[in-house]
Amino acid sequence: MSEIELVDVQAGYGRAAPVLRGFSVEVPAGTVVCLVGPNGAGKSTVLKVASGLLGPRSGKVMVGGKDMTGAGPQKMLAEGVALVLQGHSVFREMTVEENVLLGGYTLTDKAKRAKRAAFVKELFPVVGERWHSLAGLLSGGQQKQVEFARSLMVDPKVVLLDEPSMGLDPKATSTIFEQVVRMRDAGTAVLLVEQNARRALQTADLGCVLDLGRVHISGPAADLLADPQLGELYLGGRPAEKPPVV
Amino acid sequence: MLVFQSVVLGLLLGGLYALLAAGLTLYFGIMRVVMIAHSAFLILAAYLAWWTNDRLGIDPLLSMVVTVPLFFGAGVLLQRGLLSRLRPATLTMMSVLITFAIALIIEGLLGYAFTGTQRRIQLGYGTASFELFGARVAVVKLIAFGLAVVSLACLYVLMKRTQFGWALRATIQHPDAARLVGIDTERTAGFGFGLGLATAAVGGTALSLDTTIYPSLHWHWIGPLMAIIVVGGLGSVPGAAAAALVLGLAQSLLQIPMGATWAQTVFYVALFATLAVRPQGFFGGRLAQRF
Amino acid sequence: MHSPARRTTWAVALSATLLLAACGGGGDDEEGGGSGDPIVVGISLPLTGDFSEPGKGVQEGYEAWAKITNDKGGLLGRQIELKILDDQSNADRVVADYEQLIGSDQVDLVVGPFSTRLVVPSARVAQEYGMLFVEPAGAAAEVFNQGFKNLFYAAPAVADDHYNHLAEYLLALPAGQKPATVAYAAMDDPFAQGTAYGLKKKLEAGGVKTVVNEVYPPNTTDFGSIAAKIAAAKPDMVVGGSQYQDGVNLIVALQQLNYQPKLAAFSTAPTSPEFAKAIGNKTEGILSPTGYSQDAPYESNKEFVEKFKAQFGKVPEEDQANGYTTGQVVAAAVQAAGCAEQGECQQKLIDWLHGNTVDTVVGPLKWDATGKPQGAHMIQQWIGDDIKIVLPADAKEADMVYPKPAW
Ligand SMILES: Nc1ncnc2c1ncn2[C@@H]1O[C@H](COP(=O)(O)OP(=O)(O)OP(=O)(O)O)[C@@H](O)[C@H]1O
Ligand SMILES: [Mg+2]
Repeated sequence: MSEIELVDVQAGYGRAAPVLRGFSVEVPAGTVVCLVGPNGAGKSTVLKVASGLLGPRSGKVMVGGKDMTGAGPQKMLAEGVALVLQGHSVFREMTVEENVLLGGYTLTDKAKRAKRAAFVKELFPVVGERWHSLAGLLSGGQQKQVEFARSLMVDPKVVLLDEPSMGLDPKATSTIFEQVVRMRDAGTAVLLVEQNARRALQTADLGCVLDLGRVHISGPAADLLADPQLGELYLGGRPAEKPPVV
Repeated sequence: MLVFQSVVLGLLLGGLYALLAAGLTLYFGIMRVVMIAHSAFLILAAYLAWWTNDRLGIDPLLSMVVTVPLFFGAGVLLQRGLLSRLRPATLTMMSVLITFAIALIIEGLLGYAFTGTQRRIQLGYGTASFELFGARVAVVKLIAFGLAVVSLACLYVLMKRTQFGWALRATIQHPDAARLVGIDTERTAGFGFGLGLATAAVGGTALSLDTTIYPSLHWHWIGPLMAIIVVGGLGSVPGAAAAALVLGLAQSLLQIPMGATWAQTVFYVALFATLAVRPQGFFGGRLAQRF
Repeated sequence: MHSPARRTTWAVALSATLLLAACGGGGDDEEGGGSGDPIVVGISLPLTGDFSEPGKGVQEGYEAWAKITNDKGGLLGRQIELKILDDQSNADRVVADYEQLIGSDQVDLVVGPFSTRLVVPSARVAQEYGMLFVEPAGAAAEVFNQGFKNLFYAAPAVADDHYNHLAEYLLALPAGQKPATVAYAAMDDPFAQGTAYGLKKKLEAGGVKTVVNEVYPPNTTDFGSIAAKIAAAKPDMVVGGSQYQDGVNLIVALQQLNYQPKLAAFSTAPTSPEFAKAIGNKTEGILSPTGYSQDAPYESNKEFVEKFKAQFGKVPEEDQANGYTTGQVVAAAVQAAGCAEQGECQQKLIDWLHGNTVDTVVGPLKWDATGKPQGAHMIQQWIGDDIKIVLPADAKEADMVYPKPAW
């Protein structure tokens, strides 16, 4: 059973033409699914629909087998879906501590909140080190980790990550990808959107290419990496390691 | 001696400015709403305090038992019913127009209900004062200052220590991220707005203790208050409080050499200086602890 | 209570908005002036609009004058008949009104309208027709520098002269007692400021030092700093060029600072019935100039107060007294000249007033060539729980208390 599944979703903003035109994707438990596509293809829109920030015009959003179409972010969160937005979305003028604890806003059990906080601090050492700093004063990579930590406070079943490596140096990017793997190993499914597609596909189990509002192609990440046509169109040139299969 | 007396008066005045500016800051922080009607609500609360004293014969401070919850409710309704329906792109501009209209309506109703005559609460302790290191401190001014300090402290504790305060700050700083951690941002914004208006109820009562009120008095207040929140760094409550104290003090001290008329312009000079030199404000800064 | 200057500003704003054609009334047969005919007095007053409240007050004053005079057999044996038009507080309207009254209605006499703003245009109409023009409201300097020869302001003094009696009193004190330093705070308004500056000019000329001189905008509500400045300078005397509420606020602010002057004088505020309560009854020794007092011992005043009460069921205030005084001035001239009609008679009336003193409910009045009254206001002082006339000596109800007790 998949943690989250979008079925034939149409979605868009205001009265404008739909951005997504019959898009489907599925994130099985314990996997990292990577969503790639050109700028403006609608990748962030997919994540907004999946997190409940944007209601689909048609189609279905299934979470753990339950139809959650039209549910808002609060309900989605209760079902175990957490989204880390594209760009910076820490509460800049609150401390790291306040940011992380706010991740557990919906947890009524104080003890559980403390336990989760200890857990994410361990997972992201930087978070513990900068616990009392203002989040906005942290570097971009550090802020991203705070956002991860915040989203993991509710112990979600699936985390939606929107371009987590954007604007980060190679070392920070590596850290982020390492952490994606650690999150999966800790039992959380991940739907990952990345510009750094080649790198992301190397980390992911499954891949999905989004173009013109639809799934262009999907399958095991390794297969997509090996596809020469995809390589040219979406992954930034040919794969360096493997020669093209003719 | 005169300088010290002026410092005392300036601080007492600045405390009141700080409370009033705190409300305006909340609206702007939460919703990018420029709330022109804030000072009209302030005068409304002052009138209600005066009315309580004049007609019911009880201490004007007791009027807060009614006005604070009333204004809170009115704030929630105003935000949920009117301002939250504005399109984000035109929100700030439209909010100026709408709240301008609200200010005019309140002024008109006050004029209708109480006439344009100037009113002043007549208190037994209205002229009482005591000496503090050679300066005279009027009891009513001290009560007003005390109200401001207590409400600001409550506001601080609320913002810093309560679940609601955290949710409100998160909503102000990143509404989408706030929704994603499960905060009902709509409701929170409504309550935040109500909180802002509740400060007007307290401020108005404090104001009524030691000044004359008349329906159009709010135009006299809104300019300095707007200047304070800009100088304080739009959206920063401590920034606004610091700016309020400094400007209140400056106004009081400048009256010594310049007289009352010119001393008032300190607010506008500070406003222009801020816009020219440091548009993000002198106290809030680009990134500072706002609460 | 009401300052002419403040009304003036309102009238300026209002006059632009209304313009109504004068409705053609009249047609009464008022030719000549045979001794059986009544004397018709034409008046235009703001009975509606912004100045309707003081306008009606002045109207009551005129009506009381007509009734009291008629009850005693009229003027020159003729009954007085008032012809009052409503100018709706509109300066354009007032000119048309007087044109109609003098030109088509052929009234025998005209008297002035209300508010400084309306006095100047109407006096001009009267001047064109060579009519005497006695008016109850028009204390501003502009009224007297238009070169009118026919105008007389029927009140004791213009703003600048309100404090003359006090100035005389203080300057006559022996050197040791005379206040040495004075603080002035005045509203930025020609009327309120005029009162304080009139006194300032005279005291300065008499060698009394000005230590604080503050002018505040009319919308000022916080008087803490001004009061602090005054209190710190510790002057012997404080003078407020105030209207009502600002006067109250300033006094309260001074009391909050526990400043105890030897003398405190404020215009307008202290004579208001609300005053004592507004400052928590800490009124001890406060002085105020007043244009009219029901208690003033002038002979005609007792009659006026008594009969006015009988006619209207209330005591007369300053507006009513102003209207009544105007009537008294005109009546004195008519009596002396022995005529009351348009034409040559009017010049006789004017000439007589320029050379004589008239006893009125506000005391004896006389005028200079511009029609400016040569008197001063009475000075009242809060003594105990009451405000009493203390100056001039011939009108006093009590002795002035100086230095004043603590407030
Ligand atoms: N809030 C919004 N209101 C209106 N249109 C929007 C909004 N957000 C995105 N769009 C439009 O929807 C389309 C898809 O945007 P989306 O952000 O999903 O693309 P993306 O694939 O995430 O692009 P990128 O790689 O640049 O992040 C774009 O044409 C964009 O202009
Ligand atoms: Mg995107």
